Amino acid sequence: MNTLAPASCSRFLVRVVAIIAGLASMLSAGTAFAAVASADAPHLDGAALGLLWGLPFAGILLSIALFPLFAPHFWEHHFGKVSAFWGLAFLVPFALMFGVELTLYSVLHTALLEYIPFIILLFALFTVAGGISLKGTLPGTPLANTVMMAIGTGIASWMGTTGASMLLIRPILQANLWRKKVVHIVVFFIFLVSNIGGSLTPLGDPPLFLGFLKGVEFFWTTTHLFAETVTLALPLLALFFLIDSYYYRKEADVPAPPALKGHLGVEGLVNVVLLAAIVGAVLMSGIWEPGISFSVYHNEIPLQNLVRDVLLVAIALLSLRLTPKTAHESNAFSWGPMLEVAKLFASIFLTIVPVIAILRAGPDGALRSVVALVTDASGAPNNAMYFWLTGALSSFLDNAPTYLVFFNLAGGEANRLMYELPLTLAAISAGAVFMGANTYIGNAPNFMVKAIAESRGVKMPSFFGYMAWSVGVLIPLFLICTVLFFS
Amino acid sequence: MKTILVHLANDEGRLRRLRTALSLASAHHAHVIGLFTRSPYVTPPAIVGRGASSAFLREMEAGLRDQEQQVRAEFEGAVAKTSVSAEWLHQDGEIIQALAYNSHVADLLVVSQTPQETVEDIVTGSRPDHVMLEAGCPVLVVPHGDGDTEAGRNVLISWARTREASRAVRSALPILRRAASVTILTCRATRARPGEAVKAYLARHDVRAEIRVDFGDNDEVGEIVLAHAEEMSADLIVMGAYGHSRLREMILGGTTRHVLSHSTIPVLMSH
Repeated sequence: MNTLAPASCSRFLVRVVAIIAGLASMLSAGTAFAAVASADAPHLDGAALGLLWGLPFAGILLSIALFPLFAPHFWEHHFGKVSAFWGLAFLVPFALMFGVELTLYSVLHTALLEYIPFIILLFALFTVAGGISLKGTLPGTPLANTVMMAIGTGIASWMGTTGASMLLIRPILQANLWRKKVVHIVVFFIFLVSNIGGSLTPLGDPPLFLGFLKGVEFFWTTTHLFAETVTLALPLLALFFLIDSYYYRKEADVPAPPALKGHLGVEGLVNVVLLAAIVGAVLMSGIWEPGISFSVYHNEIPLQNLVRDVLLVAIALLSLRLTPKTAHESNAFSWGPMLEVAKLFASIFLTIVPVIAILRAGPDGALRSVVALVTDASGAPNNAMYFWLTGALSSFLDNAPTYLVFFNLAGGEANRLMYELPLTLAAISAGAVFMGANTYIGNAPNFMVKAIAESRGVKMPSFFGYMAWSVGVLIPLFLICTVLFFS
Repeated sequence: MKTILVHLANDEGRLRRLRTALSLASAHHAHVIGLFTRSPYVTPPAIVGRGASSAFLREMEAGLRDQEQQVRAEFEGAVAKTSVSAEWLHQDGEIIQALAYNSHVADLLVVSQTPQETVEDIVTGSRPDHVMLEAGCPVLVVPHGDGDTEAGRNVLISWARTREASRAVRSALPILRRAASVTILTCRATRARPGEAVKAYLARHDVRAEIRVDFGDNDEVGEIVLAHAEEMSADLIVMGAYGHSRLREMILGGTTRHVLSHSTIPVLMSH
C-alpha cells in the first residue's frame, strides 16, 4: 500500500506548509495591516484577504469528499494527519502574517463559540440517539411502510436525521426483506427520514445547529420551513404509497412470511428520556438570558451556553452509564466515528475563518463574484439562487460548513436574517437540509442507510442509479418549492 | 493439488465460486478452506458531521453477523452434498490481505471476477481478482454471473517463455493431466518452432497438447487469447499474470487486465 512513514510524512508536511506560507506572503504583500485592532478585540478585515486563504478550506472539504472514495485505506489510517495538515496550512501562514494575537483570538473564537458546542451536541446525540432501538416486527404492507416513513420524517427533527434513520432502518428492512422490490423503500427512506425530516429544529440537522449557535432561534425553522417541508413530504409520502402499492400488488404471488407479527417495542427507553433532556438543554440555551458571560481573550461566552454544554456532556455520560452493558457489547460500540468527526471538524472550523471573513466583506472581498451571483441588480438577495447554490454544494460536500458559508454570504447576522430576510435564511436552511438527499454522499445517513441495506442483502442502485431517483423525484419538487417560496 | 482456498463473502458470485472449488476438490481429492472475511466498514465519505452514530455500528455489526451465518449455512450445505473435506475459516480484515495471507498455505485460491459495472465498482472496488499480485499460490478467477462450475476439461494455455507463464503451467499440471484437451497458444514467438519446447515439457508430464500460433493483426494479445478460447469452447485459460510497479504499488499489465475483465470462462493465473 502507498503510505508514508510518519517521519517522512511530517517532514513533507512542514515543507508544504512552508511553501504555502511563502506563496501566501507573496500574494498578500502589503496587506499586513489587515488586522485592525478595534475597540478591544482584534479584528480580521476580510477585504484585505486574497482568495488563496480559502485554499485550506477547499482542501479539507475536498479531502473529506474524495479520499474515502479514491484512497480508502490511506484515509482510514491518516485522516487525522490530513486534517492537521490543512489546519496548519491555514494557521501557520496566518500567524506569520497577522501575528499571534489575532490568531489566538480567531482560534479561541471558533473553538469556544462554534467547534466545542458543536462537537458536544454530536457527542450527546451519538450516545443517546444511538442507545435507542426498536424491537418487534411490522407487516411489510404499503400502508404500514408509509406510516413508518411519516413517523420517521416527524421524529428526525427531534433526534437528528442520523438518529431517526438508524432507529427505523432495521425495522423497515426486516418488515420488507421477503419482498422482491425493496430498493424504492430504501430510496424514499433516505429522501424523507435521512434528509427532509430534519428541517424543523436545530437538532434535526447539524447546519441548523450551527445556525442556532449563530443566534437563529430554536423554533425559527419549525415555523419558517414548515410549509416547505410539508410541500416536499406530503407528495413524497403519497408517491411512495403509490409506488409501494404497485409493487406490492405485482408481488401478490409472493407469500408473506407468517411470523411478521408482534408488537413494536422500544429498547433503551431511558435514552428517550435523555433525548428529551437534550432537546430541553438546547432549548434552554436559546430562551434563558441571564445576561452573564465569561470573557476569554476578548471572546464572550454566555452563561446559558456554558450550562447547555455541561448539561449535554452530563446527559451523554449518564446515557453511557444507564444503557445496559449487553447492549454496548453487541453494539461493537466504538469511539472511532466520534473521534473522526472531532478531528475533521477541528480543521473545518479553523480553515473556514478566513473564508467567512472574506464573505463578510461582501462586495469588497475577494469573493465579490460569488456575492454578485446571489444578489439582484437592486441589491436584494436572490433567494432562489441561495436555495440552489447551498443545495448544489450540500449535495456533494458536508452541509454544515456549506450552511456557514452561505449564512455569512447573506450577511451573517442572525437577527437581520431572521426578521428582515427570512426568505433568504429559509432558502439557505432548506437548501442545506433538503438537497443532501440528492446523492449518496450528500449526507451521512444516506450512506449509512445504503450500507445497512446492503449488509441485509438489498442490491442498492449505484451512485448514478440513485441520482436517477433523486433527479426524477426530488428535483421537480425542489423546482416547485423554488416557484412557491423562493422566487 | 491438496488444498484449495476459496473466498467467501455475500457477493453474487459466491455460489459459483464455491461450486467450482468443490468440483475441483472432489476431482483432485483436495481439502477446501472457505475463507470468510468481514471487512472493516470505512466511515462513509463526505459526511463527517453526522457520521457519528453508535447505532450505525450496531446495525452494521448485526447485518454482517447475519450475513456470515447465511454464507456459512450455504457453505456447509454445499459441502454436505459432496464427499469433500472442508473447513470454515473466519478472519476479519481487509479482503485482499486475508486472501494473500492464507494463500501461502494453499495450492490454489479461488476468487470471482470483479464486475466493473457501476462507478462504485470502478472507484472503490477492492479487487479480489487482482490478488495474484500478492498471493503465494496460483489464483483461479471464476467469471461473475451464473454459469458453468466445471473447469479444466478443455484447457487453453496462453504461453510465453516467462517466469509467470511457466509458474502458471507448472501449478496447473494436476488439472492439465486430467484434461480431455490442452491447447498451447503462442502469440509472441521469437523462435522458429514456437511452443514445441513446452509441448515436449508437458508430454514428459503425461500431458498431450496441441499447438496454435496466432500473431494476430493487432497488438492486443488479450483479445487473441479470448477469441481462441471461445472458438475452441475452452473451459479454462491458464496464463501468467504480469504486473509492473507503479507508485510503489503493483499494477496488472494490459493483457492480464483485459483477459481478467472480459473472460467468460475461468482463468488460472500465476504471477
